Parts: sequence; structure tokens; C-alpha cells
Amino acid sequence: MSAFGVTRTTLVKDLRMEWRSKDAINSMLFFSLLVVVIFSFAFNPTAEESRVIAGGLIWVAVLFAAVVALNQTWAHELRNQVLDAYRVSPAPPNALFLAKALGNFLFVVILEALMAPLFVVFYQLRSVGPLWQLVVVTLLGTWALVVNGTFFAALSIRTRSREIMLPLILFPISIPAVLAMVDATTTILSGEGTPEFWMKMLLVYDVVFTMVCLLLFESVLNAE
Amino acid sequence: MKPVSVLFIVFTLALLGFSTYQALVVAPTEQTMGEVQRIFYYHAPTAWVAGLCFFVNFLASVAYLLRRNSNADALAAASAEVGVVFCTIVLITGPIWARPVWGIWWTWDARLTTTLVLWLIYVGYLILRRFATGSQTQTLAAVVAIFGFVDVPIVYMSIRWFRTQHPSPVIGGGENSGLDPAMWHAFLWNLLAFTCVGIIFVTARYRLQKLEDQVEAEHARLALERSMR
Amino acid sequence: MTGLVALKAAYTVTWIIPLLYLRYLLTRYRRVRHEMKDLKRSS
Repeated sequence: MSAFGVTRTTLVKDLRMEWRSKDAINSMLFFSLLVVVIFSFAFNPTAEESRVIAGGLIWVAVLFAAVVALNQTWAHELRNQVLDAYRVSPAPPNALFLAKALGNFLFVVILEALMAPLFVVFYQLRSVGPLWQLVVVTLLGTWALVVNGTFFAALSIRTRSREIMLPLILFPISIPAVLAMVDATTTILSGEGTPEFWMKMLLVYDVVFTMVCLLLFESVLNAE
Repeated sequence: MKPVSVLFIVFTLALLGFSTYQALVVAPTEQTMGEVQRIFYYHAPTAWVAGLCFFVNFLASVAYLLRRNSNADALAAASAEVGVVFCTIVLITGPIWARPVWGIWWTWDARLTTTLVLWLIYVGYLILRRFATGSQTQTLAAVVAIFGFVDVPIVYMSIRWFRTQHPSPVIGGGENSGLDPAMWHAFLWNLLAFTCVGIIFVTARYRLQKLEDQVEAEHARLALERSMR
Repeated sequence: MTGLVALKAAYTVTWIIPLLYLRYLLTRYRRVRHEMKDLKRSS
């Protein structure tokens, strides 16, 4: 089976499984909702302050929720010895990685789409800047989190305390991406300044780390 | 311990004594900050050595992934740990310096924040090495090291840009503040001394790693033997 | 915190931390040597 075929089949299978159980989406949604509520009590922002911190808050909530999804990325494969089968098959390992990363990407994007109206309601958000920029930042930023997250999720399978290992390694490395997302979002929402640099930086980050992930995934898959 | 090693250690201690003398006595007193500026002669070299250690870790990790050489892995483990030790020193002496001079312990400027993120990345690396199970530790660690190292320039640039948009106090002068020529000597002597200290630590930690790897291999061999009887 | 206090504190820290690390290394060395002796005895 070709690389593209493997990617598509795995992706479709994962999406179908998720559609039936809706495990990941439900837990992500609930968790990010919790984060938003707790932060609101912790910071107790006024209407003006809300608009200033909304950018940071959105992405922190997405980041934490994404970790929930990422942690279970490989759970199914682990339970059923799929990874061992994969190692001995001639299928290219990157195809599997891409399928997983794309699946996670879709889950998180769906989460963001569901959370967006909530944020608009909670924080009276109105975008002064163009909305398409917000969409680009969201897509680029989500991929930045998800591509590294899927990779480190595979890596942390072979460690003790794997649920804590993933964020432990992912968060420091994701700092530039998170910074870019937060500042770009705040810039677009408030309409002050341009997010151009951040968008370029996110693109560079995405390209660099996607390449690094694709280059190194085989080593991780075959690590015995 | 081999006589060469002992000699090198004695030499390094002497060097450190000399460089400290340079820093505390010979170097001129700085105009605006006064005596406290002399912290620079310890703070900056340790930062350099930490960076050097992490660079060595990067090279050793790449070498390990390419050749699966256990010496490369031992060097990676050693240099990461020593790098974290030096980075810790930087993160403590920095705020100690900042407090009397600028009135603040910390600021989220590009240099400080990048140093903190560097520290976080490599502490994560060390934790991964401890928590990974079995023989894949080396491969996983090498992979994480590459991610971490590639990330550092990106971290620095992104925070720099962030700070041009949202300025905040910068400790230790801006990016282009230079060093008075009379102060170069003290700085360079200390840089040499601390590099030698770094070499000693990395070598010691490297040897320790090789010994521990040997012991583990021996345990594994014995367990295999017993299971086959 | 005056300048001189800070200077002394910084220099002290720069010495103490490596010394603590050395002590940590020596402890691990001792343990490894002990383990090697045990292994040689049992094999």
C-alpha cells in the first residue's frame, strides 16, 4: 500500500472511531471549558481586561485540551500491538505519523470551532482586525502544537509517567509557537499592529518542526 | 586517577584562582554600577560554558542517531547534565546581579527568558533519560535533544520580536552594549577557567556514565544467563 | 541588597553549586564501584 494510502486509511479509521465514541472531543471540550471558568475566577477580569487577556486565555485552554487529545493518540495502537505490526511492515513510518498528526489536527480545530462562540459570549469578543488572519493564525498555531505533540506522544509511550512526560517536553519547545499565537490573536482582536511577523514565524516554525518530526519519527518508532 | 588528570585539575584550580583575582582586583571598577558589576566575570563565562555544553550535547546526540555509538550517548548525557548545572548558576547569579542594580529580580526579556527556556528544555531531557524504560532511552533522549537545540534560536528570535512590540526592562544593557577593553582580560581569563572546569566535569560525568552502562550491561547479561539455565 | 553583598553572594553561589555537583558525582561513583565489586563477587 502506498504512503498516501496508508495515511488516508489510518486517518479515516481514527476519525470513524472518534465519531462513534466522541471520547476525545468530549473530554477536550469539557476540559477547556473548565480551564476558561477557573481562569475567569482566578483573574476576575473586567470587561476591558477580558479583551486584553482573551488571546492568552484561548490558547492556554486549547493547549491544555490538546494535551488531553494527544495523550490518547497512540493508546489504541499500543493496546493492540499495532506498532509492532507496523515496524515489520514495509509501510513508510511517516505515513502513520502524518495520519495521527492530521487526526489530532482535525480534533483540535473542531474543538476551537466549538469554543469560539463560547469565547465571544463570555468575553464579548469582537474582532477589529480581519477575520481571515485569525483563521490563518489558528490553523498554523494548531499545527505547530499538534505536530510536535503527536511526535512527543509517541516518544512518551516508552516512558514511565507518560501522561506527564508529554507536556513536560512539549511545553518548553512550544513556547515560541504559543507566544506567536497569543500575541497575534491579541493583535488581530484589538486591531493594533499587524500580526504579519507572527504569521511568518509560525510558518517557519511549522516547516522546521514538521521536517524534524518526519526525519526523526522512524528512529522513535523503531526504538526498542 | 591518571597523573595527567590530576595535573589538569590542579592547573584549572590555579587558573580559576588567577582569573578570580583578575575579576576582583585587576579589572577596573565600572562607572555606573560599581563593584557589583564584577559579577559579570563569573556570570557571563558560566553562560557561555552552559551554551557550549548544550552544543556538545547536540553534536553527540546527532552522532548517536547516525552511528548508535554508546560513547556518543554517554557524552550527550554528561554534557546535558553539566550544562544544566552551569545554566542553574546563570539563572541564580543573574537575578542576584539584577536586584541591586536595576531594582528587579527578574524581567521577561529575550536573553533571560531564553536562558530559562533552555534550562526547562534540558531539565526535561534529563527527566526523560531517567524515566525512559530500557534500551530505547538513548534514542529517545537523542531525539529530544535535537528538538530542543533546534528550538533555542527560534525561542530567542520570537521573544526578541515580542519585546520590540511590548518593551520591558532589559537587564545588562541592550543587544549591542559592548565591553570596555580593559575588562576583556578578566572576562577571557574567567572564560578559559570555567571552560576547563566544564571539561573536567563533563569528562568525570562521561566516565561515570560509561561505568554505569557497563554495570547495567553486566546485570542484563547475568539475568539472561540465569533465564537460560 | 547592596552591591557588595550581591557580589559576594553571586561568587559564593558560583562555587557552591559546582561543589555540590562534585559531591553528587562522587556519591554516584562510590555506588557504581560498590556495584561492580558485588558483580565480580557473584559472577
